Amino acid sequence: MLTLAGFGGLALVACAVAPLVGSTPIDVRRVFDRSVPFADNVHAQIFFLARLPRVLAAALVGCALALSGVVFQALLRNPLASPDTLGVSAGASLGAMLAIALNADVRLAGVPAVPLASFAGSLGALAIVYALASARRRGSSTTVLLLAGVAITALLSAVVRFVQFVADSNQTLQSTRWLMGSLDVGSYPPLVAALVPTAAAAAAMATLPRMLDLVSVGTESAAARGVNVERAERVALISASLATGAAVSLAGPVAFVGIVVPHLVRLIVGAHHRLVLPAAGLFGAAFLVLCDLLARTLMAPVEFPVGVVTAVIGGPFFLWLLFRRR
Amino acid sequence: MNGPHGVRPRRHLPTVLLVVGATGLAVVLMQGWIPSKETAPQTPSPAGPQTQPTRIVSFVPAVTEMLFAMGAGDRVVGVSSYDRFPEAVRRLPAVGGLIDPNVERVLSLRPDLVIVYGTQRELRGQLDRAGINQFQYVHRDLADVTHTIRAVGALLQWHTAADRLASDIEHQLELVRQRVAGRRRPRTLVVFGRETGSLRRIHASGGYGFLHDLIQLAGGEDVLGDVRRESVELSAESVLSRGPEVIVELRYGQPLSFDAIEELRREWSALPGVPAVRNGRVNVMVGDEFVVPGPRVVLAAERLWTRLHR
Amino acid sequence: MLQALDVSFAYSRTDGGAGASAAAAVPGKTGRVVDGVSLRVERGLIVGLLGPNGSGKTTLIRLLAGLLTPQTGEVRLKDQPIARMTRREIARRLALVPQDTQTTFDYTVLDMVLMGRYPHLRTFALESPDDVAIAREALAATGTDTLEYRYFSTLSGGERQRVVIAGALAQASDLMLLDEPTASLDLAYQIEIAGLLRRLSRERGTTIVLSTHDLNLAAGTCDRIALLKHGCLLADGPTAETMTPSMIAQAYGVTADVRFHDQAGHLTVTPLARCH
Repeated sequence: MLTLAGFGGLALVACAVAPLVGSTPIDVRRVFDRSVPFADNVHAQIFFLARLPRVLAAALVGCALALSGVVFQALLRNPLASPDTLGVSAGASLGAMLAIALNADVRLAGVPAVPLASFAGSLGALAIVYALASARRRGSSTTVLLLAGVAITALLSAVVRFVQFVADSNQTLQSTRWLMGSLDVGSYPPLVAALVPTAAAAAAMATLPRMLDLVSVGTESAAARGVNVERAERVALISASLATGAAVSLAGPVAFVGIVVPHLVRLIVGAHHRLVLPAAGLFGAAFLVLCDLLARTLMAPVEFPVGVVTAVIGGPFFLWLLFRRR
Repeated sequence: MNGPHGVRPRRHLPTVLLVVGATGLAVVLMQGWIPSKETAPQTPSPAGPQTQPTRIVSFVPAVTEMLFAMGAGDRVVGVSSYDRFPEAVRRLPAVGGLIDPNVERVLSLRPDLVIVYGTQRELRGQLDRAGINQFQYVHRDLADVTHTIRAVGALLQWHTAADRLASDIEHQLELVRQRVAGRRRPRTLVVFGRETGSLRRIHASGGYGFLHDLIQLAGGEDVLGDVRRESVELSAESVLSRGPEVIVELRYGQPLSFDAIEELRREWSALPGVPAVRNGRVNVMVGDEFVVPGPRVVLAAERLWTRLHR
Repeated sequence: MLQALDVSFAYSRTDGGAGASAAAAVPGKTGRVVDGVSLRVERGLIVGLLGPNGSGKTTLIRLLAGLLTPQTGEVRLKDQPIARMTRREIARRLALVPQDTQTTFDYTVLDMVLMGRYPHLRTFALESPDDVAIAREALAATGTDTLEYRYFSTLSGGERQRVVIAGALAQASDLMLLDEPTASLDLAYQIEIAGLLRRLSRERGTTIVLSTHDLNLAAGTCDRIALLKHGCLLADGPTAETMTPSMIAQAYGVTADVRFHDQAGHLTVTPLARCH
């Protein structure tokens, strides 16, 4: 419980500090100075229009990816599983590529075409995976599902490259950049739009921890202990895919958070999912907020993709933790 | 695994990993940071043509335009799949682009000169083996436009026309420069790409290259002038903190309807505090001349000038 | 305690898993892996399910545990049809020990045993001190209390199996089904597990059903033996009556020498040759 509070504190501090730091120095007093009209207050505008949505997006995406990483690893009983494993990210990428290449210009409740198409793409991939998972009868190994995920990812990625190839050069630039991930969301509506499915997924996941413990040890013994394995697997698959789809459609693919944060957290809190799940959500949020802070300040005014930071910082840190224990 | 003095090697592991990580990061940073300083631009192959090239394939739209503008358009037998101007190129066979050149089609056109990008290393090797002369094009700043025209003219033994064209362009650009001399230079941001429908992944011209030179020439002060890169990805924060007085958003490829242009301009109102947005000085300009550094740079400079000073 | 009444089961063609391959290995006319089996497991006894590969032992265990639903017949647990009980209700009365347990993540031994308390807990409830006490008691009963804070993945095969049995005890201490509990263990651990099962039966009155390939283990452990072949029940009775050369020849197609071993204190089987 104390550890969880620690992770919660870390996430809160990260979210509170990150908007105050950036490539431009801003003065906190002037941010909240009501005497200057908002339209003239550059400090307030930078804080509320640029940094706050960005930090919140980082927290949301980090949390969603870490949560779905935990759930996928337990569901597939595979420590190498990640939010990308079952092809949901690839589906989201394909959706985004198509929106960019077709120059789609629709809008729904203030959310522009690319994130919309991306989320639709993730739902499409989820539908395929779900159909495969349902076709798979009880008793068959999750290896089949994993391999299906690999095949779906390869297929969708090939289509992504094809779409990129036929697009014109500006679209190719945009789509390549999309595939590197970015948290600069620019406005609040996409953030709210991603929050809805993520919150729903998190609520569904809250019912899962103990089942995930049991399922990760084996479906047959889980069933013999009273778990409705099929229902648990369905809830896990759908909630983790929804969270992934929301995260990827908001920020593009951000490597590494979904696979490494769950393991990092397990090294600290142990294997119990009722600790791992909330701790991973909180730590994932804090981790991505801090990585994005580095991405936007290290080389200011030039920013580089946050996925580079997550991998370069997270990789060695994770290896260190891993080998220190063994 | 233990060392001779009982030093356990794994103790060094954190350090090693950190060094590896830091080095990796440094490499990544440097690659993005330093503009490539590739020298030896625009040199013909050492062999050098003995006779006038008469069958030219161009992978570079800017050079294609130069050839037509200097009156050597009838020698062009093949162009890249991105060539759109002048109208005559649409009837010529397309031979692929920067990343997907079709060597077979190039060879089948029996060219005696191929205009290639400096980075098309594989294609250059193949042309070398086929004994076909090349002109390596390197895209840098505004002055390179007329340099290239003169270099291509020399290669074609078409000096007079090329020189006349180059001097004319230099003269026209100089006229624009004189027109803005002494006038206040508005802080200008030139955007050449962003995500459809939002202010995300804004790609803008940095303080280096052809677009940067055009902004300066047309009487603007490049708000990203201190960033020595050709292209910069801008966050919402950077747009706010740099506060451009004029924003020029470039569009190319297809023509845009009036409504579409208005919509693009309206999207910038998400950042109301930017002076350009507040004062209604967000411009959307459609035209390939902003991305093809050929003879139409004069047109580009004049159009830009109208948005900055009229 | 637990009763199968004329139970039959066939895997459908699209069913995946180990059961399907077992079914494919025995191309019976009906395709039934378990064919009209009736079996009564009395309270406090150890019942062994024996039979050659593909005879339906594992499928019968899964039917008895309510994990599979028979196409005909029914399974009754404490005189209630198991088909009408929820998974949780079944799990509170009956525990299953699978052949082999592998963990993906590092759970401690106590964690693993506490997982047995799942059917007794509500969704958001934490384990109470009572649950922990039950788990510790189960650890003590299986002689694994000293391992409590070790990681499950670091244990030896015999230790693991004892911990899993402890989990089953914590789940439902009076009825336990074990699917080849010694299959992956070496000789010393086999004796250890057999001793543990006898002790649980004697001291706590735990009813035990186990499937095995090891005739000597069965002879030394089980009170009754059910012999299966091609999904049908060949024999069912006290160990001394079913463990005969003719039964073994019928079930396995092997001639064997069966005699009482004075030192071991039970029947022993020495296979001699294949029947022709």
